[in-house]
Amino acid sequence: MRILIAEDNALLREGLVLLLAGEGHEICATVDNGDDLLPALLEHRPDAAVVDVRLPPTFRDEGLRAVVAARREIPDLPVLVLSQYVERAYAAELLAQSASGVGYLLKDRVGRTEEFLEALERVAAGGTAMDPEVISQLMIRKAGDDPLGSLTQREREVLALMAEGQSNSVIAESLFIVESSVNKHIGNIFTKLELPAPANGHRRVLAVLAYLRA
Amino acid sequence: MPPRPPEGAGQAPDRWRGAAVPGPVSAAGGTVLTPLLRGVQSSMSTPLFTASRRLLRPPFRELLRQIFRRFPPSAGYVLVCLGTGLAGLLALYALAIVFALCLVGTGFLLLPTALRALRRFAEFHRRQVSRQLRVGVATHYRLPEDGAPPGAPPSLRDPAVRKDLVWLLAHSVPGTLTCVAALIACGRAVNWLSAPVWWRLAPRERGSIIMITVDSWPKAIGAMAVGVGYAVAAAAVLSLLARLHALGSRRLLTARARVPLAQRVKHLSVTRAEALDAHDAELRRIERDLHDGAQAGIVAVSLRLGLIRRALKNRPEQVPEMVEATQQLTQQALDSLRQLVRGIYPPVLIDRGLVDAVRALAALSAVPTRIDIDERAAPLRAPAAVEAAAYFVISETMTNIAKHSGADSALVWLRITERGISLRVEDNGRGGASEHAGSGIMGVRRRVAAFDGSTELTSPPGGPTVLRVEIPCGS
Repeated sequence: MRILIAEDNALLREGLVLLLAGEGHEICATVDNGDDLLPALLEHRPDAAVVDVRLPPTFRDEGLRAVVAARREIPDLPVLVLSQYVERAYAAELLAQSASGVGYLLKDRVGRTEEFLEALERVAAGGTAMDPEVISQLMIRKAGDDPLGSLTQREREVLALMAEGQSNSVIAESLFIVESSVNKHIGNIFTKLELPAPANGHRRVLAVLAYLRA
Repeated sequence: MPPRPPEGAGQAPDRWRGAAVPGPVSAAGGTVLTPLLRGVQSSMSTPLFTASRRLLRPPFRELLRQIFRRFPPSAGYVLVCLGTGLAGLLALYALAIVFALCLVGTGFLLLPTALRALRRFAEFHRRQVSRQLRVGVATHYRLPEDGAPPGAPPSLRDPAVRKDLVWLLAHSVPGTLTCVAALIACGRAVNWLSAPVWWRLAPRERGSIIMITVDSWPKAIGAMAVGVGYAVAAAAVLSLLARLHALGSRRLLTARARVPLAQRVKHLSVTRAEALDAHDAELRRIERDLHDGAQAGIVAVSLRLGLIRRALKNRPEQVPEMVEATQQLTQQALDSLRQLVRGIYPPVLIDRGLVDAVRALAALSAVPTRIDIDERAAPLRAPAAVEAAAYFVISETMTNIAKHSGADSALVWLRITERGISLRVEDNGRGGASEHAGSGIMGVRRRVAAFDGSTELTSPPGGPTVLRVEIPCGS
């Protein structure tokens, strides 16, 4: 997999290079500022990009803005965005275009190398990877809202894990239930959220989007 | 520290002290000189010798040294003041004409020019006084009112301008007389000292300049001896008069800020907004430093630990090296955290208070720095924010001195009272510091203004640079 890394903290950048190169990935470019990021993304067209939200020169959200611009040029360019803190606006902006090939993780997660690598793989394959922290914050805010309010506690847990980008088997495992129950919950969620019937994978993404945007 | 020279082989002051006050130093001295001196002392205890010995005792020697050290700058000051005082007489005359012309109307055309010239004249003398007293001298001219073009002429309605007028009168008449008196005293000393010369060159004039008639060598030498005493006294009188003149000038040249209430409120709101801005910028800086410094450092450590966990499975032989590298990363993260905390509020201020914190600053400064702190004030604690501001001012100024001034010594003067904190930082560097050269002074001014304090910077080219800051404790 060809990976582009955009991170201004040299120590962290080196660490990421070490980790990903050690996994046999090719690091096609590393970028340490916001101005170089968009040209680099367009030039290298990596299989996945790991991007820090906040980059020099202004240390605001230039990483995110470059990603959004790049995905306008190259739809569904897989990007895993790392942020120092959870900001709902960032997640919403990322998902506004399309929910496929997008990840939004707290920086802290890179320490859990297995999970981080897994999330990266998932994003590169066109899936989503949302930080549990993002989900739980949204969950608190959403608790009283319709239509999510109509979901049961268990269904909300399942949806949260779906939003993180987990597969049905992983969801079953983490909630200590059998996979068929997961399927049943997901069916209920689709019905309650009034999502159309066609049985393709996109319905899953739509559910997550409905959840995140509500 | 270089090894001390052996006792008795020291410099002259040691020997003198040893001779005048026979004590352990001379008693223990094993050199030739000390016993010799003691011998001289016992055999020659004539009244004259005793008197001269007493005269040259350390306190008196110190006084003499002080007088001679102060003489050149004081003499320079007196000469300049004599010049400006005479010029001031002409200026008074000119002003009187302008005022007279105002009665018929035409004077109003000349008034702005005249008052501008007066202000320049006063500013020139402020610099002289500032150099003589080694403190900043500044006045508060009224700020131009709303709508007035910048550089509007001074107005007679401004109390500071009226005070300048009073100064001009005082400077020209009693000021000039003071200078003349000081110079006459010096002239007398020269007359006595030069007695032999004019006795030889112009014997017919003898006795007309000094009180005695010089007509022989012993008398001439006696006159010179009197001249020496006269010279010392004249130098002392001159320095004293110069100082009194400068102190008086300072009083007349410094007007308190008496601004209309509306202007004062406006000033307060501007400084308050600036303070909030500064506070905001500070918070942003702290947030960024925390996220991009300390937090990123910890994340990097966590990432390395993840790598180590993987290496334990695949390449256990690399683990010790990786642990080592990770520990270094931890240290870096800790260092950046510590620096950040220091920047927010210096811990030494919490523990020790301002006085000790400033002492620590001075001790660590790259430029040798003396401190002048009223010890009795040490237990007094100003509000934390005021202490932090004072500390910031001193620390920022010391950094500036080390970076830009080229000074080889500096002085920090600090007084803490119930009413507030006064401080002064001086250096003997090249001067010419301005608010526009760097943002350092600007930052100081803002921080002080946030407490409704005042900042005065005097830094003539060639130095010395003096920064005076007053921060009131809002109570």
